[in-house]
Amino acid sequence: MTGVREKILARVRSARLSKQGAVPAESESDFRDLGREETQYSDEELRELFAQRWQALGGIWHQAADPLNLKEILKNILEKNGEGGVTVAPSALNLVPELDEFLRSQSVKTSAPGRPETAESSVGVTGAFLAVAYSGSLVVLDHEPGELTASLLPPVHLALLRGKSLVFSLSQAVERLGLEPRPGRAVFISGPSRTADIELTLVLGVHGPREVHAVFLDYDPRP
Amino acid sequence: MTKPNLFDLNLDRALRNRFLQLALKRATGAFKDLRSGIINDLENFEELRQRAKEAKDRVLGRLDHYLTRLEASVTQAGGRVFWASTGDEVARYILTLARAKGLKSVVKGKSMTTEEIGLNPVLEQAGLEVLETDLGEYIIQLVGERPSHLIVPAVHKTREETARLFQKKLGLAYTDRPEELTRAVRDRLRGRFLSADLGVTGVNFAVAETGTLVLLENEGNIRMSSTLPRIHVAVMGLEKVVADFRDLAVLLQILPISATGQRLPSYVSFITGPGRHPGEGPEELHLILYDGYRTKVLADPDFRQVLRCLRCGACLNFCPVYRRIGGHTYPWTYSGPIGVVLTAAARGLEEARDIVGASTLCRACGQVCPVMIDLPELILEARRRLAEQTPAGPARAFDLAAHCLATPAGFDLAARGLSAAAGAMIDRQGLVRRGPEKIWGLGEGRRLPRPAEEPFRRSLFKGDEK
Repeated sequence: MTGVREKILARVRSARLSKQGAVPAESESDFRDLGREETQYSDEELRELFAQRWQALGGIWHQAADPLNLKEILKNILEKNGEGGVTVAPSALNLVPELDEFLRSQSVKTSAPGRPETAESSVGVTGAFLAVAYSGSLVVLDHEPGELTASLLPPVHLALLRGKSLVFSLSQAVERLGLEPRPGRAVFISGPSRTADIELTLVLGVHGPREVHAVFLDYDPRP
Repeated sequence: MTKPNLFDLNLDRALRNRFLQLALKRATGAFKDLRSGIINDLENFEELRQRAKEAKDRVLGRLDHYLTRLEASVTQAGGRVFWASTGDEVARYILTLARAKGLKSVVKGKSMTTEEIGLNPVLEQAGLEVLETDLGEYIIQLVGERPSHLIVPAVHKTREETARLFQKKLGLAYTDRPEELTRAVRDRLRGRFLSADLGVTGVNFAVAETGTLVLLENEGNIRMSSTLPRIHVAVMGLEKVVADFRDLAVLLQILPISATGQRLPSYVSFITGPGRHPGEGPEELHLILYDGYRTKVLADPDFRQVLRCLRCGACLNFCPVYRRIGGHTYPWTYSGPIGVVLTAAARGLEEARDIVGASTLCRACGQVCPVMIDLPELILEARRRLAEQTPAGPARAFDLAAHCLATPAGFDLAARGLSAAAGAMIDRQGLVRRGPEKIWGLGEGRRLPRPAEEPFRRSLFKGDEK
């Protein structure tokens, strides 16, 4: 096995020797992101841009003015989709600790993440670590158990989002992922699961959720 | 007349397939429009291309450094790294792993590298159940075909064909509605994902600095394959390594725009090491660094730039030839302009001989390539190399001709000779017919005018003499 490794590396090295021209320098990238004029966005504009892009992708956007409003929004979503039960990931509870209590009062089956429970639930609730306005993406991390499956297995995914999670560019988002504590896994979620593999006809909801809700908490959830 | 070769037969079949013509036109047209639509909104797309090219060149220039760096980072994150020179070694590694761990069922994400290797048949022969989980790949796995496009592998299948296929192979009631066909596959695969032992995927980018594997997709099947099974094997070509997160951010922007005109696809997974929680990511993550032809191509100063390729498919969508003949007319796994060039570089000129000619040299492919691979120039280079291999007979004839025509006397002699020969072939309408028809095999309509009595260069200078 080491033999193969050494042979491959030797081939790489001899290929470089036979190459004419210079090896590209390791230049420091001063690249401006696509359309990035970060300073030109106020918090509101960033949120508007995210909401616009998210919805253009088929995502559903909500803005909760206060905890009461949040409960109404959740209630509506659960009335339509909650029949199979709800899985709540820790990141959502970190943002809104009273969520658990509220859901239990809603006569829906609520469970903490676990393989069979999550797979049977019809709604998965997580927090979003980041929201990227450029691409209309939510970022979910595996800092705690259950985040990856709660955002993948149920047909409906609902993500709670705070203003300070908003960034404009992919570069900024990727940079944040490089900071400690680094996640083992991170997923950028841009709208529902989709395919166009049959005659290029768009179909939503292939293996991942067919419906995704971003709920923006327009208040400080943990004063 | 030589008998038609396989390429000619495939070409013929593709051009006559009315559905294929329509499907290709629609699919490539839609991708072109999506890409153009988004690029029009971006002022600095050309700058981004330049950066993307640099990001890839940075790694290719010091590939040994970045590969060993990647190996160290992946290992440090708890993953295992295996190096493979050949596709056979990739397959054997997976088989040995499967035997040692008692793995039976495999769910696969779409991976061109494993298509290249022909991995599935080897695993299946060894008794593993291998299931392609991308919808397009699932369809072509059912019929036993190969992908005909980098992004939409079953672009050549009509909905009716898929409907009949599902009816026959899955026992599904006939429906040709894409939503219902898709739902049927979702229902069928759900349990398979949850019970699979092994997930096998490709890799779009592997970050040397952090050991992070980055995978892009729209369906969620790659998330499933890399999250649910207890072992995940990711197979990557050596050239997929990226220096750091900065370069990654550049490539992450340009790939989806070039591929599907999306800013990002539905899911981009960053995977660093095995899962951290039970049932959320595998217990073991194996990364296979696969060479195949890559180090060979790296040693070729003209062709090494093809190793920048991100497999986005933009050059296919913009190619007037691909858009007519489709992916299955190309000799190898890869089609379109990049397929021509990769085939020539990786598989050898002989395998690329027919397809190298099938280019209009319109240069669109070179203009849309996100990493600025000079595809038209490389197609010409392949032609040049093939021409250099031309058998001795014709080559000698051309040498002789070049020698004769280089002197005024030689040229004069050749012109007179040809004129006399042509004069002997004049038909009743006073045109030269037999030459074009008999010698060059052109149609009857192709005729040359009667040679002038006096050579042009003599009449040209007549005025001066007077």
